[in-house]
Amino acid sequence: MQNVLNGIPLWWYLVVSSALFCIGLYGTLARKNAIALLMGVELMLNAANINLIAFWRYLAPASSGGLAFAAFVLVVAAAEAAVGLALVISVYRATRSIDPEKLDKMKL
Amino acid sequence: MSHESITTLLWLAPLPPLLAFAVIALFTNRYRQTSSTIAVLSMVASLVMSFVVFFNVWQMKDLGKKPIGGQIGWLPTGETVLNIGVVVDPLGATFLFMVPLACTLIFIYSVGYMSADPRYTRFFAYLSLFAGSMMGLVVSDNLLTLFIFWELMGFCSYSLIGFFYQKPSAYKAAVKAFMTTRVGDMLLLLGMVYLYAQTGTLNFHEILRNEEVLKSLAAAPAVLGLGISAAGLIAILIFGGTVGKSAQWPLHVWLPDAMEGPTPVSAMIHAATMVSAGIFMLLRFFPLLVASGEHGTAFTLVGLIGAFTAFLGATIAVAQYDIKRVLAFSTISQLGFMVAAVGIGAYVAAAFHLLTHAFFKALLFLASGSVIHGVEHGHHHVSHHGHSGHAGHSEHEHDAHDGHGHHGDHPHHDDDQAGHAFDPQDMRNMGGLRHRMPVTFATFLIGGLALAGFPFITAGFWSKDEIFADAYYHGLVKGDGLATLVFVVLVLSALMTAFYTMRQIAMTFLGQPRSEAAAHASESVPSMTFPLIVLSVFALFIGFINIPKDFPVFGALVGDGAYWLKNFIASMLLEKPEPLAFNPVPVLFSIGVALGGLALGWYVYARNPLQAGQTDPVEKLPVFNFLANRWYWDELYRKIFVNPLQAIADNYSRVVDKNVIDRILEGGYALGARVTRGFAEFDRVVITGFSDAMGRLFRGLGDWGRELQTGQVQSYLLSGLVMVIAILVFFLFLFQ
Amino acid sequence: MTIQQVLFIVIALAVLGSAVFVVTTRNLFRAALMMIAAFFGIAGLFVLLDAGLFAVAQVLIYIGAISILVIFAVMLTRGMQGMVPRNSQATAAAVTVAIVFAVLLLLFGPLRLTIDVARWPVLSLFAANTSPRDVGGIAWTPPGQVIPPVPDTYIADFGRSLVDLNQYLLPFLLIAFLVDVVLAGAIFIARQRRPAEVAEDRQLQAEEEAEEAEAMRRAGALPGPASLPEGAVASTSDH
Repeated sequence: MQNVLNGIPLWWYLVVSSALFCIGLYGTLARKNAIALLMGVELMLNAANINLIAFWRYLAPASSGGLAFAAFVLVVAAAEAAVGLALVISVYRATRSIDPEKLDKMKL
Repeated sequence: MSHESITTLLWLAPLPPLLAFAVIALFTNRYRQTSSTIAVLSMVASLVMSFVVFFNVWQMKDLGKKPIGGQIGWLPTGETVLNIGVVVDPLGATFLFMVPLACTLIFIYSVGYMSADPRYTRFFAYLSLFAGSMMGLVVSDNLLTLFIFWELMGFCSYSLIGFFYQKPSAYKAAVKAFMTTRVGDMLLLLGMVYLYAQTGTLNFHEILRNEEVLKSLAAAPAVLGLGISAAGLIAILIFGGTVGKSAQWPLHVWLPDAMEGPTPVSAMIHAATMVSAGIFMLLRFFPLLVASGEHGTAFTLVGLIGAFTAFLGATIAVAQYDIKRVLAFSTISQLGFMVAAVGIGAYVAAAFHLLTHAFFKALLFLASGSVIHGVEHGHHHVSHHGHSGHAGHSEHEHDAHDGHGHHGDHPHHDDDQAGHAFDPQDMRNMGGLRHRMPVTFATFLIGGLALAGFPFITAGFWSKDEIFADAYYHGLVKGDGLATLVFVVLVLSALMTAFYTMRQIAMTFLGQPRSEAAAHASESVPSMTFPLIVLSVFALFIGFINIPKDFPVFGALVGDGAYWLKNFIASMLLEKPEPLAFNPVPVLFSIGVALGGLALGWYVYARNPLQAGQTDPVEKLPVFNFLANRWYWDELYRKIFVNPLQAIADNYSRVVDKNVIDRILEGGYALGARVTRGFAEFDRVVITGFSDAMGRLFRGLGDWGRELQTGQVQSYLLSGLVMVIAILVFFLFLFQ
Repeated sequence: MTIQQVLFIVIALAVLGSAVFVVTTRNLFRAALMMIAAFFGIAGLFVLLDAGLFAVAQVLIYIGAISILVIFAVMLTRGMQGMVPRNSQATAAAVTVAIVFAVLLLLFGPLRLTIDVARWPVLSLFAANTSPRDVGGIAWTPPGQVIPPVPDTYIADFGRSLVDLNQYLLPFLLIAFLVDVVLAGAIFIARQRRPAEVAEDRQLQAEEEAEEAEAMRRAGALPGPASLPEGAVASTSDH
């Protein structure tokens, strides 16, 4: 028997978050646009949040640890989005392109 | 003198000539005077040492029973050691007297004779080696070292016969001599091996004066059966060596051809030393012959061969024109006398005749050399002064013919080519030389008379008479068939000997010169005539050492010296031969055949000496061609032995060698080449290919690795993700 | 079927559908809008999970701020629209992602497998202990477990935990610090360049392009002769 809350077993949430995570992962790896790449990252972070909140609710709703963790993830995601987009714009200004494949200076 | 000193001298006696050979060959090859001096002096040293030994032992009564000598251990053979050493016993002592003396005289003679030859030093080197070998053979106390020196002499004979090696006839003669004596040597070797196998030793004293050894050899049956004892077979095999070396029938064919060598060589090798060595060895092994049966197979064989050879040689000598060929066949005949004497058991007679023959035959050869030199001198004298006739015309051919100095010998087959090239050895070109070359004439006459057996004053008479006495006694008195046969044959041969000797003397020296060359011949230099004189002294007086005790007049004359040789040598045998009572019959035969033969020769040749161009009466004989061609033995051997072997050898070379062996070899090369190419291919494809593939593999890996580093974010992300998943799965499912 | 289940299924499908749209569309603007839709859906999931605070926070932060940022960025980089959405490693990525999903499913799904490692010949070599183990099904819990309710004061408790020395004060302060830094950094990165800087940027870029062209010529990809080696090239910029 699994954890059931109002008829929804925990694992439903987990499956959804896994799927969302994988979709976001695909977006990050396979897109030719840097902004789309960042969008994928955001989806991944959201999936992580869903996971966290689901586990908090089902396993330890009384403690605040899960919530705190989720909150931190939220904040970091925002900050990271800001910086990432700033970088994209900066790169776009310099190279007139936001194709991640063109940015290949990170090698020997 | 102490026995040790004598032994030391025996060890040292063969050394000087051997050392002379080494010194001349290695160092003084270019200096003629030095080389010949070294050779002569070394021979004199050897002579002195030998004489010292001889004159210390000649009066020892029991020298045969207790010979003086010494041994060293030489060849370790398993648990025993084969000893070699030196010994002087009566027989050896006799040879120690004769051999170095003859050799020294021949050496001195050669200084003059070979003076014009460009290869003078080489001649003396070989001659020294030869003399040293003969000395070594004489002092050997065992069959092994005797055989070694025997073979060494065979080599020297080969070298010296083929001394004028540009002439095909010379080198062919050398090969023929070597090959023919080889046959005999092989038999000797077999005998030696068999002897050693039976007795475990090769020492003469241990075998031949040892009753038990001789008895056991006589008792043991021969290894092939054949109905004779081991002693008999060994004796026959050893006799085979004598047959070869001493030119007995059937191995006599090499000796006449050996006249291609220089005359001193003929004198030394074929009169005094090498051919004597064969008889010497036979005499040493006389006790073995006795042990194999008094009237046994061995004795019979020896006697028959000896008698036949004596007859054969004499008959052929009658029909020869070359002065040296007459002497060659005479040697064969006289050796036959000695062998026949051994065959009937006349030990002392054989030794006696050997001794006397060495002296007078050497004398005859050297004198003939002097004659040849004289005639050649005359020939040159004639051509220089431009006399017409054959002389002028043939001088060019003459010079082209030898090509190595004026005084080269001109060996020739006995064909009559007086019109073509001038042959200074052909007796038909001689005549009247007694006036032009008196010393040579006198000495040659003495030698010839000794050979013929002129009664009483020549040595040859006494030794031949001894043989006749023994043969007559054993044959007609005691009734031995072999001895009778030997007696008859030898008498006939002696008759012919006297005849052809007179023929030779008359044709050469008497009458008028039959050619210009002979008319202008001159006497030889003293270095050549001196040895002739010395030898003629011996040819006259050496016979007196063995006069029978009861001989009328002469027996009383020598008194205690009668039968000196017999008494001296007798101690060699276990059984002392009893001296024969004097019987006048054989003596009369001796005198009769000698004088009769000489008279017949005188009648035919000296009364009306042959003129130039006149044919020799001997040619009227129906058997002349048969005799002149040496009974066709050479042709027979050529047909039976030489030609088939030649054909086989040619065929082998052509068919087997070229076709089979060469094809096999070429096949082998091709195979090898293919294998090599295969290896090269293998190396190229597999090994190099493998290493190339390894290189390519790693470069591919490197390229792939390099491409991982794209510099692109997403690519790094993917790689990281893959890694993470892998680790996650690994740890999740395997490590918990 | 309870109403929550139905709601859940609907919202979940909406979220996943929007997300798929986001990662596959060519039109970035559309993608941004669909991302907003996905965020809304996630907020709904939070509500279903009795975390109302987070639902609101999600809407405010993600939709209100981040999505706007994204739209701004899309606007500012208008020139780059219309490209093929997939890059060169798309297939590899898809395969990998599928594998990741499978693993996650195994981990989070309802199934609980028992793997007897010892029976697998190759795997057993690597396993530390070869006893049969249970894999997956993290969400599985013994039956009969009751899920506790959320306390009424959960928001206040959460807020208090953030400033409590014994709880999450430190991470809170660090996050705050991070936000500060990020703010400053983002401004700096995206600032307007002065003309000199612009020229410098351009020159750097030109140099890099030349270097790249040179490298490609040496490798034979571009036509034209290769120039002298690096050391011989006169360089005006200091490194």
